[in-house]
Amino acid sequence: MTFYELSWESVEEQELFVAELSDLLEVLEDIWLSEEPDVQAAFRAAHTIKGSAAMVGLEDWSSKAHRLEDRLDQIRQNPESPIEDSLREDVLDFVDFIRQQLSPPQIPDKGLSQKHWRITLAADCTLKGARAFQILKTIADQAQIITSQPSWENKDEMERFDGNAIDVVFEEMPLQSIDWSRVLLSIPEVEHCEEIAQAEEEPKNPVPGVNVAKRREDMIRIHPQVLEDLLDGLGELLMRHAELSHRLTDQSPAVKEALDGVKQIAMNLQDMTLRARMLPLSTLFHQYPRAVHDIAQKLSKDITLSVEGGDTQLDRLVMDRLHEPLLHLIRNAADHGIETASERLRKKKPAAGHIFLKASSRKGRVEIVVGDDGRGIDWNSLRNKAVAEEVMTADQARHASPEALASLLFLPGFSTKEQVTDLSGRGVGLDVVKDTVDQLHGDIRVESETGQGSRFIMELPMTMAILSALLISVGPVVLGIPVLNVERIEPWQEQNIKHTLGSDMIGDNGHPRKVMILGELLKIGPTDPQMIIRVQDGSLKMALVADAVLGQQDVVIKPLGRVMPLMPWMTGACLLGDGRVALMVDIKRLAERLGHSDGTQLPEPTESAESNQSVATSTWLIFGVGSQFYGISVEKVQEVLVRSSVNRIVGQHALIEGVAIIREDSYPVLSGHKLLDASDSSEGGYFIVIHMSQHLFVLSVDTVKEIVSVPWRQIQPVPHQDGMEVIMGLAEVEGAAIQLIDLDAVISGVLPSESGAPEKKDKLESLDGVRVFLADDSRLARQKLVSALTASGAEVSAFEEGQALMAGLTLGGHLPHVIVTDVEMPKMNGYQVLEEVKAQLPQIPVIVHTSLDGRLSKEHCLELGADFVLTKWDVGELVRRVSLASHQGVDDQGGRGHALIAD
Amino acid sequence: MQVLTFTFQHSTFALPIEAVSEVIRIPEVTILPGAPPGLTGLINLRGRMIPIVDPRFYLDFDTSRNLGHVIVVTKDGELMGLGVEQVEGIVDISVHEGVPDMVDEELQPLIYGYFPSQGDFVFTWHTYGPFLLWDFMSSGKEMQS
Repeated sequence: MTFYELSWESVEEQELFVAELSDLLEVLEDIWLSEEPDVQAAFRAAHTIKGSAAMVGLEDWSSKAHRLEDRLDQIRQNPESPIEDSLREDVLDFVDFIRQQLSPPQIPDKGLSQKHWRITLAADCTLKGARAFQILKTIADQAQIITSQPSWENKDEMERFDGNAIDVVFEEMPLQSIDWSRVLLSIPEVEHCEEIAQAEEEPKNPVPGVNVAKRREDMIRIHPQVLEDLLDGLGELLMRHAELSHRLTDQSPAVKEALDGVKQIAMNLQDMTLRARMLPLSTLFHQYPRAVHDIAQKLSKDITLSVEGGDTQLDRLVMDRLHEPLLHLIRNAADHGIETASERLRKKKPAAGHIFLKASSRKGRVEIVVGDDGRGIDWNSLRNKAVAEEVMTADQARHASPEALASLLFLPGFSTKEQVTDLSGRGVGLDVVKDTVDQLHGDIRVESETGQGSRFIMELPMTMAILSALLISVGPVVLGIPVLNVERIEPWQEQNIKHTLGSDMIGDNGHPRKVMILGELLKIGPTDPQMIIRVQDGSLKMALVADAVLGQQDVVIKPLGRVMPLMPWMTGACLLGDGRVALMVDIKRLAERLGHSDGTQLPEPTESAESNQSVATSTWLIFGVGSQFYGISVEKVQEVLVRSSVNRIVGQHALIEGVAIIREDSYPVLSGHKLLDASDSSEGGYFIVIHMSQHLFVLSVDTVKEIVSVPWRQIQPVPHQDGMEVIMGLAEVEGAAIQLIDLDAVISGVLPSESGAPEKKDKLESLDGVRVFLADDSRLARQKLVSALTASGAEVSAFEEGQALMAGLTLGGHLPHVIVTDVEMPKMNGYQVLEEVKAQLPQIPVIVHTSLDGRLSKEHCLELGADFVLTKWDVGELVRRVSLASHQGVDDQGGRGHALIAD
Repeated sequence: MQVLTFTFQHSTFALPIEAVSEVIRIPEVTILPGAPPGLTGLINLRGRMIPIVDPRFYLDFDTSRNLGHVIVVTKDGELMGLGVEQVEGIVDISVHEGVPDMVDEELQPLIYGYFPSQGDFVFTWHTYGPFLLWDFMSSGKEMQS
């Protein structure tokens, strides 16, 4: 069968085949035209040609390639032997043979190259005759005009010509390929031109080859580096755009629109460029059926290969490096995994072994599985081997989990099959497979059931270039952590960290998790630890401590060449919009730097703990007042006591019952009934002693029920109503709705601040215990506002833009008392923040702090529910407004009177 | 030969001009935590991130003084920055090839030759000199671990 007799499943398949083949032929040719041929590369090229030719059914190509492969293999095995000239000739002959076969069959009939074009002139063309002459002359210069309308021969007819359409039939010179449409359209006043299909065109079913040859010219192949450069350029364009947006402080809507347009276009281009590097995995997979066939024959085994998910897209750069590892895994499966036919029959398995190759993609990751139904991994012999190779003690080996044992397979020089066969011994080892996968920022693991087969599972990023990263700051350094690895973010609280047995740890659903203070670990100083980021990578779990979370961003990672070996915990760096550089962290390598290896890990938590550990939960003490149940955060509860007597104080706050003496100390007693507006006025039976924000007080309640754990995300916000300010949310516990009390909101209104000064002004501007979430895209603004608010005693979490702030709200932990937001911000602007907050958490006051002055924007904010709109920059006023807003809830309800309670 | 001269404290050195891709004033440097001494950090050079090496760590100069310029050098398309205190200029001069044996043995591979200037000697680096510093850094790293 020749190439042009083949039938193809799709045009794409044919095109890919031709394109790939041409590449390989070029490789072969280049190699043998150079002084010192790279035999290895030539061997691979011949091997691939053999495989793909066999796949499509070109037996003679395949056998020619096979002979060549054999010869090259011999030379490859004996690097000392000289390369004979005859081999060079043979290689080139082979290249020529395939090229000649690929070229479309000669078309002897000259008539076929006749073309009929119709050219339409613009309606307002004045000297049509002259223009027609010019057009026909242009054609005549490069081809033979057979007939035309107006006639090319008849000059008079030409001069009188007054139509709009010119018809011309001409014959191209042999071997000529002219883009006529481009040529014709370059002539002035030609409005349109088209080729008219020839009615008498003989064989209506065109020779497929002609089609291919023509189509192939429509495809261009680009060196990946060109795409890389394009990405660099686009990255810089985006950066410059950000810089420009920052500098243009006075942005009219038109300017803003233009700038946004530029950004959008650049981002689209970036996307397109990245997509241009994507190829379906079938381009890689198609060579394996043949490979398996060959291997099976060599081993005298009967093996079938099934391939799934060939349409999964993967970055060409990643794919290029996967061929060897996949081939190795397949060979391994065939050689070590699949048993001989007789052995299989004894085990009541089908005589033919089965190897499968499956690809699928999920969340930007591609999973490729190479599996077989062979003998699987013999864990006991692996244990023995581990002891023999002295990588484990006998005791360790006995207790090692299959997972830990399987990881041994990837150690250099560790192979289970006693006898390294010719076949598997030839290629790369499993350690090299793992190395390659590591370099691609991927992961490989193995699952196996003895007697049932093994599955090698590779997980790879779809592209190496782009990654969704959580950006955190540690001192002056910005680090990026792959979002995939991030479990949860929470504020750093010294009291939650336990220092014991030479290590810092934090609770993780009843299990300790190692805490790493990045500033200390990486010797960055000085730092200001504020946030804990819980991360995991496979079985590895850690809690990283950083200064701040800057937000999430898709970043283009660039490797750093020679810097990389010196910085083992980094995978590269990326430029941020503001020109800063973020260093990308590899969680595993970072852990290695700490000597925190998988082996020294604590036993895995039990299954049930495992399944819900990534859920952020909060713990609540449930108590009853009247007929309702409420919850307060256990963190704030010091103890629960049976009620004792309460002494009334003159002039006390409306919500205060009086003072209770507990162990010779006096505590103000907050009436649960009054606070929660319970109609029943009987006195409660229990005291809950609460310690928070330097206050000690008692909440009197009727009953105390239990302590429950509630995932944050199951807490429902409550609709905003008068009197509901103290309720931060609703949770369902055993079928009953529990109202969760925001103690901060309660206390900030009822109890005097620690400074004790009852003077109104001081009270207002002290922000002790007030939590503020702040979103502003300007680093300077953030710094300035944070320091001003913090100086007044507020706890401030700052975010780079609205989306990060909203994410902060949903992360769990305490909700802020006040939100301060800028208007102009990337991703999510202040208006959107306002809308979202007012929709979801209407109880939180929002102050808009903007540099946009103008009544319109201010009114718009107020319309959207802003509690106050403030023009930049009056920091003092902002602090005052935050303070006002933080007291707002109680002010509306019960006025400003504060209880004066003598200690 | 044409050389670019630069200084550390009172010592002047030279680099063959063909090794130099450009000279810039030192921009903001992103530090690399945990990097070996001498690897100052990364700079953003028109969208490319390139490492900056401070040779003073290996030449036994005071490293507390400010670096003023970066000499960007290139090898096989890879860029790297050599941090220097001051770039002086380009001179066309004949350089005496060879390394006097009083030069520290470890530093000898760095030096191509020297030329006299104002009663002093200006040691001229090999074009690949800046990249040799990487070997120093790598070996330093091994010693640490």
